[in-house]
Amino acid sequence: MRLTFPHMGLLSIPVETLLNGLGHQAVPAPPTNKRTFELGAKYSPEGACLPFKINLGNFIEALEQGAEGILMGGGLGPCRFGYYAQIQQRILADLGYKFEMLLIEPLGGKREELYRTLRVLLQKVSLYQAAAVLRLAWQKIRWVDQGNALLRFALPRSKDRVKAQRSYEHFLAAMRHEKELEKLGGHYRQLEKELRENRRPAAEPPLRVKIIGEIYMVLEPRVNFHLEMLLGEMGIEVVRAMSISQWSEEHLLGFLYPHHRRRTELLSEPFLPAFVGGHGRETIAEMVDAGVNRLDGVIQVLPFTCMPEIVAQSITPAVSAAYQLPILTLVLDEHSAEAGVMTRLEAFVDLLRRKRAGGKGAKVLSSGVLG
Amino acid sequence: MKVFIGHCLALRGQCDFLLVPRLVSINKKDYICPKFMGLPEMTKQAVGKQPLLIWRSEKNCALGSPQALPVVLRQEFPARRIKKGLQKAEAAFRSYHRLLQQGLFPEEAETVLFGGTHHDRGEAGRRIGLIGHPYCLYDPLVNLGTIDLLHRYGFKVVAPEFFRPRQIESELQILAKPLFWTLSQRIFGTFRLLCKQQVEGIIYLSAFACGPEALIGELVKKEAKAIGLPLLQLDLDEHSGEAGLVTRIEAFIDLLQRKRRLSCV
Repeated sequence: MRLTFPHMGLLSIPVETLLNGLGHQAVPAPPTNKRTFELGAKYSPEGACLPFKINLGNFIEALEQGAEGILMGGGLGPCRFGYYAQIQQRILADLGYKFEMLLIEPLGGKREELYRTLRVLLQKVSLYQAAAVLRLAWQKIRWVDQGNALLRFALPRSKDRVKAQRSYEHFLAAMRHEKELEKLGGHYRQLEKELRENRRPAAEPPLRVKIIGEIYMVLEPRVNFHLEMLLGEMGIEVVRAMSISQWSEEHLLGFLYPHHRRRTELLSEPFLPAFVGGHGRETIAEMVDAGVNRLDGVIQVLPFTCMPEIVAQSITPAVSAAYQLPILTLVLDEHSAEAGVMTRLEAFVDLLRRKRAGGKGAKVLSSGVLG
Repeated sequence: MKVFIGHCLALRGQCDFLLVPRLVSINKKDYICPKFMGLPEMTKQAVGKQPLLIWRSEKNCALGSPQALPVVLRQEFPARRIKKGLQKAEAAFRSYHRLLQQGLFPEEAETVLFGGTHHDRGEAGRRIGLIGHPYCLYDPLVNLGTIDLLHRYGFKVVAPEFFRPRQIESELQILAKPLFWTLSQRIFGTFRLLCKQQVEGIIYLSAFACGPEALIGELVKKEAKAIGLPLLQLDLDEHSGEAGLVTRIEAFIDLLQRKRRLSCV
């Protein structure tokens, strides 16, 4: 079956591997572009959050390219993501597309849907093969996330930043097509070597800024205006705990990696002692973590009308005051423009530089919907 | 949300403690909404130093259990008295809901409950459905007196709270995946019931930037289009002006009348 899936940062690399390995044909949507935004905004309900619109735009573009099925995640609420697929299915069906929606629901909900998806996915290969493919995809995303972390560390410290980005792109392309488990580490070491050669003799350590917020907005560079690259080019080291492999460990394989959840609960306890859905609690926990580790600043990215993040956003002033931590909140939607984001980032970075230079700094807090 | 914080700020100087509920879920497997779950923290940010008591409710845990009450309120009284008090409150709550199901609006039900009387509005022939979250529907300041306006036009208004929960639940069976927001369930279920009862039209009052409503509104719109039922969706926020609202509702009523005339001919 020709299957497509929503884009989210580097997610397409392992999912493509997985689908092709299971004997299906992956039809990835074209990388999120202006048309995706337009299509998504046109057919989505006005108040839906940006990820919903982009997903829908991705699906339409992929269906145009001949996809027959859509692989989508589910959830149990209270974040709206759990109900995305049902509404999107309805909208796409009204637009006249013929397709099958395959949902990956968490175990707590109705299991029939999950079993049906697994039956369809696994019908072409033996279980033994499927396990091998799954293992390959899992290792791939771990290595890719690690490569990404390496780039974020190396970019502000490299001589030629364009060259560093190019090595990273080569690395991603090589990872995407790699079929052998043993060679994955080799690509990573290649990237490491190239970045090391590119390194600038050490000067003063770069400013460190942590990016937190809603997972889709944080991980999808085409939606957050390549935030990490922009900061990297300004000479800022971007710290980010959130990644696809980390998310899978925390939420899908929570029983194997209980430490993630314990850490979140421990860190967010003083400010937000309850679960608020989505990533609200994780956002607060990461913010506290940044304060404890004395990072220079935090940028919170959230889509307009995101419910859990609004709760988190209203608590930011407390965290900011408690740790003397500058926090910039970026609320993005389909009307946001790059220039607006750039201006705010530059101003924020200037403030951080001044704070570092002047010793005791002023409390910085800024927020607003970008028009 | 903004209204709630406003209430808290108004009360700030007048009391020792503010009692803020943390509403997580009132039915098994459902949630209210993330914003309600973080309500105590958001309030804390807004009111500043005022001591805050939190009325907890965990997932799947009834609000009526004694453990839900804050410790400070509990420690001075014996457990039996607390239990009795809660039972009394619950009984009052139930009879209040019975009154609502008979077709009274919250304000009228309150007067009846506290010993007042209620005179019947009489059966108007034309009925209009009104759906949305309870705080949008019944607060005349938030919805700028929509209910009164509709009454003046001679409509009988049918609201979600008039239906029994069981009726609403049975309507939800057609959904492919159960909804996990209690209030959205109620909205969608009522919408289906109203379709069956053949109201003339439906007005959907939603709060601007309300998360679940963005998705449910889409679902309701699609359904209404499929059966050809007139639907007016109004987003309310702190900038809503009465004139704008009245114009829209009047236009909608004109359309309903036109439709009726055409169908008679």
